[in-house]
Amino acid sequence: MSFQADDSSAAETSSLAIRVRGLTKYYGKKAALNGLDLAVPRGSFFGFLGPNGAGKTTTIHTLIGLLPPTSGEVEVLGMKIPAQMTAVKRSIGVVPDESVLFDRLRGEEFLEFVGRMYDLERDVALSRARELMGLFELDYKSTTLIAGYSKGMKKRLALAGALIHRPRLFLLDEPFEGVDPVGARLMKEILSEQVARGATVFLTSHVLEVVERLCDRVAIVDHGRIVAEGSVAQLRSAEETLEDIFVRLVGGEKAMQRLEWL
Amino acid sequence: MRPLQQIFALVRVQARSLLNTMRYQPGGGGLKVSVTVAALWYGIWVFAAVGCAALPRMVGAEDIEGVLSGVLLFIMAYWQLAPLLTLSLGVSLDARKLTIYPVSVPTLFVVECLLRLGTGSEMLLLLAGFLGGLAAAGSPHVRELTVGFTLFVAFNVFLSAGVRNFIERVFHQRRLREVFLLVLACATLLPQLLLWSDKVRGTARTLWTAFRGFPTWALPSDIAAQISTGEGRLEHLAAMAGMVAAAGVFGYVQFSQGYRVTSMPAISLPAYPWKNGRPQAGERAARLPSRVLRDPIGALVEKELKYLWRSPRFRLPFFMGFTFGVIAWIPIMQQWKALGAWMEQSAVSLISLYSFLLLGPVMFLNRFGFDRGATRFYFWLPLTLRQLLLAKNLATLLFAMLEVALIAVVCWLVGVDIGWEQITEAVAVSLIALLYLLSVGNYMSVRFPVASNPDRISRAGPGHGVRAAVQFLLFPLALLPLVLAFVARYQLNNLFLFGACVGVAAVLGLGLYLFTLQWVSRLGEAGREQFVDHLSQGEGPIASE
Repeated sequence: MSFQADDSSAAETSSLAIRVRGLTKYYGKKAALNGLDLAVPRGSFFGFLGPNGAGKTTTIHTLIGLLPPTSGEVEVLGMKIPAQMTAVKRSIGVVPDESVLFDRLRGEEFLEFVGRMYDLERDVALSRARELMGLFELDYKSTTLIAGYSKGMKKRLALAGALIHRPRLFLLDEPFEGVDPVGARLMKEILSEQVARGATVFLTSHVLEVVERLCDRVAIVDHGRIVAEGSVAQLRSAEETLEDIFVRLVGGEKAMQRLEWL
Repeated sequence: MRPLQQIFALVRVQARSLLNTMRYQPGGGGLKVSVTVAALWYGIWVFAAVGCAALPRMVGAEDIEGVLSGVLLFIMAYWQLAPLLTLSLGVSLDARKLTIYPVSVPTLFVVECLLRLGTGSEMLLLLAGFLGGLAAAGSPHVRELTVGFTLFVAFNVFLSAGVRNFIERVFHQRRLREVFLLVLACATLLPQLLLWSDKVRGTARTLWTAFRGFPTWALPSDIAAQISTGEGRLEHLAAMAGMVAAAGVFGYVQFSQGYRVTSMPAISLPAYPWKNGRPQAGERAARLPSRVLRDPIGALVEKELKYLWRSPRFRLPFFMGFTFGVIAWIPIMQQWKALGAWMEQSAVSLISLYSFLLLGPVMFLNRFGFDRGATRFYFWLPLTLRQLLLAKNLATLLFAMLEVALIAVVCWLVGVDIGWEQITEAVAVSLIALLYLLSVGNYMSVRFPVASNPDRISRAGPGHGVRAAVQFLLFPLALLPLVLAFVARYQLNNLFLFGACVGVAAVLGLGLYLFTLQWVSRLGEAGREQFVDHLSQGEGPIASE
C-alpha cells in the first residue's frame, strides 16, 4: 500500500539536493532497492525511514558512490552519478552507520586528515580540527587514539569529520545511534544550524521522535520502494503519530508469533 | 551443552566461516583460487612426506631409525621456532567473540590444541610419511613408533599452545611488548660483544661447552626416538609422559591467562605521549613527506606512516628485519666464506631482501588489512583508488628505505665491511625489488584483502594460506631479474653485465609497476563493493582478526 501526501508538483531539478529515479540494486536475485524514486529539496532536513533491511543504507551507499546501482538515475546537487562522482564527493559530508574511523589516529589527526582530503590547506584543516574537537567536547581526548573512543564519541567525531569542509549536503546514516542525550542535542543543534545556512541534511534513523522534531520532510521505504513521502505535518494526523503510520505501512501490526518454548 | 558438542559446534562454525569467506573473495573465483593455492602449498609437503615414506625402503629401516632422534629434533625445532621467526603464529581463538558464551576454558583449550595441531600439519605429514615408510619397509617397531610419535606430537602441540599464547599475551600489554622488543634489541649487540669483549667470548665458550655436554637423552625428541625404536624402557615412557604433562600444564596456564587478557577490549589506547603540548620527533617525522608532496597524496602518506608505526604488528617485523636479519646472516656469512665474497659484499642487499620477506604481509600483500572496515571511508572521499594505492606505496617505500639504512648501520656496527659501493648497491637493489613486490602486493591487496588486527602478531584468516603461498612462490619469481643480475656479477664475474641486468630489471620493474597500478585501480573500483565488504567482515569465532 502506498501513501502519497497531497503535495505540490515536484520541485525543479535545480532546486533538488537529491533526485533519484527508478533506482534498483540487486544482490544476486534479491532486490535491495526496487525502483526507488526520491526527491529531496535543497535546504531541507529530510528523514529517510524504514525497517531493518528496507534499503536505507543501500540508498546512502549508492548516493556516495560506494555501491554502483544496477539501474536507475541518480543526481546529487544537480550532478549526475557516476559521471560527476568526484565533484559530488567534494560537496557532501557523510556519517555512516558503522564506525569507519581510522582507529590508529587521534581525533584531531583524523579531522585534519579529512580536511586535507577535501583540499583545505594544512593550517586551516588543523585549526578547524581543533575547533571541532572543542565544539564536540572531544578535546579532553586529544591525545587518545580513536580505538579508545566510545561508540558515541566516534559518532560525534564522524559528524565533525563531515562538517570540516562545510559541505552542501549531509548524508547521515543513524547519526544518533549510541549517542548520549547531551551529545545528541548538540548534534541536532549543529545540524539545524547547517540547514538554516542553506545546507541539506538527509538522514536515516530509527528514533522517530527525533525525526518528527527535526525533519521537514520524511520518506518511508520498505522492500526497496518508497511507501510514503511528504512533510511530517502532512503524513501525521490527529489520530496517528509518525510511529503509528510507520508501523502500519511497513506491516508491523501482525500479531507476534508466540513460540511454545519462549 | 556438553563440552564435546561445543567443540564440534565451534570447529564446524569456523569451517563454515572459512568456506564462505574463501568463496566470496572480491573479484570472484575465490574458492577455486584458494583451493588451488592451498593445494600447491600442501602439495609440496605431501611430496616431502612421500619422500620420507620412500627413504626407509631405499636406505633401510634400521638406518632411518638410527637417525630418528635427529629427525625428531629438526621437526620439534621447526614446529616451535618457524612460527616465531616468520611471525606466523597461525589461527587462534577470538576471545572477545567467545567470552559471552557458556564455554569452559578447558573446552576452549581443547579447541586451541586442535588449532595447534592444524598449524603443525606440515610436520604431521612428514611424521606420517616416516611412519608409513618404516611400516612398509618391515620395521618391527610399528606399535612403538605409533606410541612414540603420538606422545611427541602431543608434547609439541601443548608446547606451541603455551608459547603462542604467552607471546600473544605479551603483545597485548603495551609495556611488556616494548620490553620484549628491547630484549630483541639487546640481542643485536651480542655479535659485536663477541667480537670485542674477551669476557663475553669466555662466557660464550663456557655456555657452549655446557650445552655440548647437555645430556641429549633429556631432550623430548631423543626420548621419543628411543621409545619409537623399541629401545625405550619404562623410565623413558614415564619421562616422556611427564614432559607431555608438563607441556600440557604450561600450555593450559598460558592459554587461560592469555584468554582472560585478550577477551578484554582495549579501554584506552594512549597515543605516543606529547610533551609540553608538542608532538614527539616520530610524529614530526611523519609530517615531513607532506611538506614535499601535495595533498591528497601528502595527507595520505602522512596518515599511512603514523598508522603503520602505531601498529605493533608492523613494528615487530620492521624491528626484526634489521636485528634478526643481521644476526642470522653474520654466522652464515662467516661459516660459508669459502663459497665466495658475495655473501659479505652484498650482505646489506641480501639482508634487506630478507626483511622485505618479513614485512610482506604488513607492507605489501595486504595493504588495506589494518584499515579494515574504515576502507570504505576512502570511497566517499574525492580521490581515486590509484591515488590511494600510490600513497600507500610511497609510505611503504619510505619505511623500506629506512629499513635498508638501519640494516647498513647495524652491519657496520657488527664489523661487516660497508662502503659506499655496498650502500649504493643495497639502495638500488631494494628500489628495484620494491617495484616488483609492490606490483604483486597491490594486486594481492585488492584481490585478496583480509581484515587484520594491528595489535595481534599472528597472521590468520582464510586469506592467510593464499598469501603465505604467494610469498613462498611469487616472491622468488618477482625477484628473479635481480637474482639473474647477481649471478652475472658473481658467477660470471662481469660487472658490466651486472649493471646491464640491473638496468633492465629497473626498466621492466617500472613498467610492471605502472601497468599494475592502473590495472589494479580499475579492478578495485569495479569490485569495490565486495572489496569493502570483505574487509569489514570478521572471521568467525576461531580465526583471529
